[in-house]
Amino acid sequence: MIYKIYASDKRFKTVEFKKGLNVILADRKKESGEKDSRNGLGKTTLINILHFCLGSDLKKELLPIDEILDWTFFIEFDLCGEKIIVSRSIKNAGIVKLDGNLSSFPIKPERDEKDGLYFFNLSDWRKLLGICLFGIPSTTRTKYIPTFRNLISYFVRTGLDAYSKPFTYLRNQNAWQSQVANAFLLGLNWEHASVVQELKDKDKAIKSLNNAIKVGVVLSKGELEAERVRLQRELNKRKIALSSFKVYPQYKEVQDKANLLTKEIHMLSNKNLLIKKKLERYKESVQSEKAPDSSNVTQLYAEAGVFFSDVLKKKLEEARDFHTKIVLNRKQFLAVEIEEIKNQISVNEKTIVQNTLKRGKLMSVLQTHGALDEFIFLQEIFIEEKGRLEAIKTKIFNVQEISSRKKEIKAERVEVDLKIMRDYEQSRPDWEKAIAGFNENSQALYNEPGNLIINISDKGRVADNAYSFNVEIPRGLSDGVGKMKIFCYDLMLVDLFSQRGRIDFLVHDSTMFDGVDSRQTAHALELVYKKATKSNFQYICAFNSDMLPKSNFSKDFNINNFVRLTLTDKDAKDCLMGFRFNE
Amino acid sequence: MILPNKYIKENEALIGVGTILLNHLSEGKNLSDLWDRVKKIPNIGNYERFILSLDLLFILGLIEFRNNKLIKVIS
Repeated sequence: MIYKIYASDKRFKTVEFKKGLNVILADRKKESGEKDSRNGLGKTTLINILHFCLGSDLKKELLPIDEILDWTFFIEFDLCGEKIIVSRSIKNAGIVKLDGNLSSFPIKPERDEKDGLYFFNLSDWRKLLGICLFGIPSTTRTKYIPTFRNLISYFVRTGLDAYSKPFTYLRNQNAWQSQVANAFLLGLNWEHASVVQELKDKDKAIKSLNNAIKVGVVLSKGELEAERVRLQRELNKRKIALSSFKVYPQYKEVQDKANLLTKEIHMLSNKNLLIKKKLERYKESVQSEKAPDSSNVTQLYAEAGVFFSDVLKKKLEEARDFHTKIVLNRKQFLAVEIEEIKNQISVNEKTIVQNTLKRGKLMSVLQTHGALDEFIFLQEIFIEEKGRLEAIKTKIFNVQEISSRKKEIKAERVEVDLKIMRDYEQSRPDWEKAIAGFNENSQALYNEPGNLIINISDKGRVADNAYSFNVEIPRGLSDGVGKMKIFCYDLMLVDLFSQRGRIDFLVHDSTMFDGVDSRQTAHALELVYKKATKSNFQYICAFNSDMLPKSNFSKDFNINNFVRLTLTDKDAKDCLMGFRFNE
Repeated sequence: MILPNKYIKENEALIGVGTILLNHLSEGKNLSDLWDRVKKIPNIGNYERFILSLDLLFILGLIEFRNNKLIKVIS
């Protein structure tokens, strides 16, 4: 039970609460815009202050921090069976100070030497609240666990988005948050919801790994294996080639020499061709040059004697002698020439043979050896292909990994689904109470029982949530039924928890009744009064005065008995904070 | 054969050949060299005529064969 909320500053309107129904009234005389808290009188701010005292993060959107820098807020309420006063200052918002008998607290506070007061840091404060108000068990899990701040948001709903669906208090709330919180609140095994989320995470990780691998050409495992085999064979061939590769250090010189020899061989061959032609010509000359014999000379001499008797200078013998000489001279000349050419041809041919042999030897070196840089080149290719082989092997491994991990995750999901089913049955007494409570509430409002539906997944799909929650109220489409679904759910929860000695207060902003039929509103308030009185819990709600269904209440129900605070806009100091501020 | 007559044309007569040869012998040449130069000239005819023409020139005292060379005799 919350007794009092107040502040260190005198301007703040202290609020005192009682058991059962409590109404904060906002009486707006002047015209203003509806839904947002612009020109608000402080209804939502009060709820934010309550959250602040209960360890919420300090945010500018929720409290006018700049204008209340040296304020401290106080709350008097029951915790762990003790009435305590808790204070938290804006300036030193990292701790809360406590006053009261703290001996039975499951977490021990620290003590401030200066003022003798006990205090908790925020994290411990939240933990303590979680244990006392909700019975959050200690757990070794670090992720996806129910936290105080998470759960209190269902009992002190704030913000428009909190009044959209019973099972969430944020727009786009994490699926796991909603799953874990509602499972916990309804008495289902919340740890299974945690495991389900972890499996979803694993699945996501596998999917992104899969996508990373798929960059580039997508090959099936079979194609990868085939490629691996091919590369392995290639690699083996290259290895053999490398190991049998004989490096000849002067490979280039040998190559150059061989080329030079080739040139020389060709040159000599050509030369011989030319020379042979010359030889042919000389041989022809030998054949065709038929010298006249000495009888011709005699005849010539005789004839000369006839015509040139006075210029005849030589005797016949001399003439014959001359003739013989010159003919011989020619013959000798030709013979010598022919001899020389034949020699030359022979020498050239010998040289050609020698060079060819030499070249042959060099060629065989070239054919059985390689140059050093060719060897290095082959090595580099080998290394590169080896790299490719390793990459393929890794890919294959990853593909196999992914495949087997997927199977693992599926199997784990099936396992957890079995556990969910088992525990669902075991916890039946608890959640059936919740369903009954919800039905009772909706029946009271609409004369027809609504339905709280709790289902478990059984398809073994990793992407599915552990539980599915739904509420149905037959008048599904009429005004404000959506809100009343939330009302019935929340009412059921606080009823159950307060009976267990846990959290015994439920707080609703004026948004709860926005758009709700005034008859329903009246029913709701009377219902909550009845239940709260019976089960000894506390209901606090804020209302704009013109939304109070004054004419729909039962005759003996006077709503004014329950108004704990009236805020007006008559004067700036008549709002909650005692001054107006712009948001 | 030396001079043209009823049976021998002018360009067949040895005297003509001899004249050509003489013209080629302004400096001494060896036989093969001279033959190489003149064997293509149509009037020379063949090796036989070539030799005989040289013989004629010798008979007329116009050339000599000295040191393996044919030289003109200068008077």
